[in-house]
Amino acid sequence: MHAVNLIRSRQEERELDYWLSIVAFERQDRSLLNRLYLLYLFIFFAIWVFVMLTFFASGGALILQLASPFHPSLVVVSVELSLLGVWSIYGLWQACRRSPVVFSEADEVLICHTPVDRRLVTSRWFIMPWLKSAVAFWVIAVILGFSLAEISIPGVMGIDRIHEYAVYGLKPWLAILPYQFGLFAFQWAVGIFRLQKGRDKRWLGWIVIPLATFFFVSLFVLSLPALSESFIRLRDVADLISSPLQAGFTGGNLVSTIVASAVFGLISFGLMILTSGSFSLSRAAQETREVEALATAAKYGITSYAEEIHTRRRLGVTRAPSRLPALLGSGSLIWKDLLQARRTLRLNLILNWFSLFFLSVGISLLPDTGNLILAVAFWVIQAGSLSVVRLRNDLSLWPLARQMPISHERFLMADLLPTFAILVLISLAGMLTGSIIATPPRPDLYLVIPGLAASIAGISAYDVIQRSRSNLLLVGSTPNVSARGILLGFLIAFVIVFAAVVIQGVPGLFLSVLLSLGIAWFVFGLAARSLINI
Amino acid sequence: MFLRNSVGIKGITLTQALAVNDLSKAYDSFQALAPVTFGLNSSEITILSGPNGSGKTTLLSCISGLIRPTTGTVSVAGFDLYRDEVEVRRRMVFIPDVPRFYLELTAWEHLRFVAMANNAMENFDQRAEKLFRKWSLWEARNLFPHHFSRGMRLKLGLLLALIRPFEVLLLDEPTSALDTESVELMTEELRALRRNGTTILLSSHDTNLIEQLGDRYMFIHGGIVEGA
Repeated sequence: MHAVNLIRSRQEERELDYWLSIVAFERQDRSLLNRLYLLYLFIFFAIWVFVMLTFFASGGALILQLASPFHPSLVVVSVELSLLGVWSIYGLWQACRRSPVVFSEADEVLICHTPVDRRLVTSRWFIMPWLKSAVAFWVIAVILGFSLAEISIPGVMGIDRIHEYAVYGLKPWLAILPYQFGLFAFQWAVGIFRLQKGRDKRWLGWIVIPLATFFFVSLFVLSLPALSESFIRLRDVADLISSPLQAGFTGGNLVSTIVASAVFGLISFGLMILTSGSFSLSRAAQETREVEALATAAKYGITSYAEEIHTRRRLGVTRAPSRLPALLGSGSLIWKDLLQARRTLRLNLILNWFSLFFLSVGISLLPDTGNLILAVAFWVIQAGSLSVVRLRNDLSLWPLARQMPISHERFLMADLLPTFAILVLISLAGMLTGSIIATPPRPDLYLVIPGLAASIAGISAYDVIQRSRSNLLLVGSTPNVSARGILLGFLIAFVIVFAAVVIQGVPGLFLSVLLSLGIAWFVFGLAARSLINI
Repeated sequence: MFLRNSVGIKGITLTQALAVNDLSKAYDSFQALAPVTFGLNSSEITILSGPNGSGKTTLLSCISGLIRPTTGTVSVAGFDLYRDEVEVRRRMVFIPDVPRFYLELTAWEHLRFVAMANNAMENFDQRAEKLFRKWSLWEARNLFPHHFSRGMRLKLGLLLALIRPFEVLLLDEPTSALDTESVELMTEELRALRRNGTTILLSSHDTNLIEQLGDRYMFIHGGIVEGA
């Protein structure tokens, strides 16, 4: 087997294994039982996908009837055309700024720096990304086709008429298959052309994007019957271009339009192969290895790596020294946290704090116990995860953190205190807002918030520290709050809130505050002791 | 060459700058470091050498407390690593072979942070500038260290140690990524530290460094330390 084929097929097998592992299928297992399981999976998912598609189709039929009761098929063609248009313009824009052919660091060494045939590489690398991009269009085409079936087929749909129904989904799928293939190949051809002979033709975007936008917008406008009457000849052109979709959805000559689409697809693919001859694989690898690493990290749930890449991009290269006044001893950790927080303040972090605020509003507004428990549970999860962000960051730099001449208690306190203060302030602000909107003030709940927040922060820190392993910390790998940590958080919150709500009056208030502070002190001690033992 | 001036179990005294007693590390059934006992004196440079994967980094990590040993104790100037951790941290510093840094702090801010944590802010600006200039990092002081080369990271790691006071210095392959000029500088720095009474334990494959600096030598192979 050619080396390029070998490497790519290994990658495709790995990709396949990843998806099969989600349904617990082991491809290496050749036993009869495993093969039967595969058959079962195939039947199960075939039925499940069909049921899901029909479910979405019934919703789609309702929308179509509302949008255009007399010409639903025209709406369907316009929707599909618009989606293809937007996707094509975006794809072309992407291709004009980054190589569409994505290589990993390993590919860069094994493929890109070798004199392999560039045409073979691009054609072999094409299949998987095309399939991934096509699936969404296939699904939408089938759903829209089924939606038309729901409107067009009279009477009750039974199992005996399922083939009629299926034909409505199959035709659009057949129509869009070569069409989308051609558009995808064209995007790749443009991207590959940009990086021919190692010269980056950035100017290509200024020509291709406006042209593509003009093309698709014109096509969309002309496909509208009311507007196209005054542009009869142009309408013919528009009809010709959108004919594959029209044939798929409205019942034109499907075979001839599929043949025409296939010709378009082959021309685009040929163009891509033609441009690939002098495609600079090294430039493509330079542009994409980080994208590939990010995609792999996201796929396997390594969010910290993706986060790190985003932070690096955001920080840039250099920064003038901070003017924050010096804080000595454990205060240096707070100094560092302030600096980090200022430099990494991102929308998703603000949204996390906002969600905590709205959960606190909900806690004070919700009248029934069931919803209250749910809101408190979400509050616990969110508060626990936010509380240990700084601690996890410090643990990930274990040689620096471990060598600080600060006691474990002070270290932990400095890492948890700033977030704890924000947590208490935001939660109290949320609850006070809730009481302003509707309910009377709940001083009993306000008073337990500091102890509750400290307990949740403490138990989350304990969970993270207890699961930390020094050999993993040395390579920067820190665990997140586990299910055990969350469950312990629920338990603590339940005990404290239960005492505050059930025992009325001053004794209840006194008991719950005392309980929350006691638990906070206890779990903080546990966490500090665990820190010594990492 | 090895076993010169070696100190055995009976040689350990309470006044020794660094005392390691019965220290070992095992990962499940794999013995990464066999039990070892030794003591190091002030104004002494001990060089630890051995093939790749022999356990040099494991030994240094256990002594510095970055990895919890399976058995044994470590004490610095009579203070136990785990019982009197703050006292030990004030006196001992470890520089890993590939130091890692905070993403959000520049090189200058890292120095400031370490100086603040160690209450060593007296004349900070002057001292930091002198160090940055000496180690040719002055132009890079406002850069984020993730843009540094490996050699620059190693130098910054050393600067983080030099900005604060210490009595015992542990270094893991300190010259592995340095250019010839920087190796010279490192040799001079280590000599100066020895003159000032610092105890130094470093791992290295650099034969020049081993011959020029070593007062004592330890060899490690398959987790077993010889010459201790």
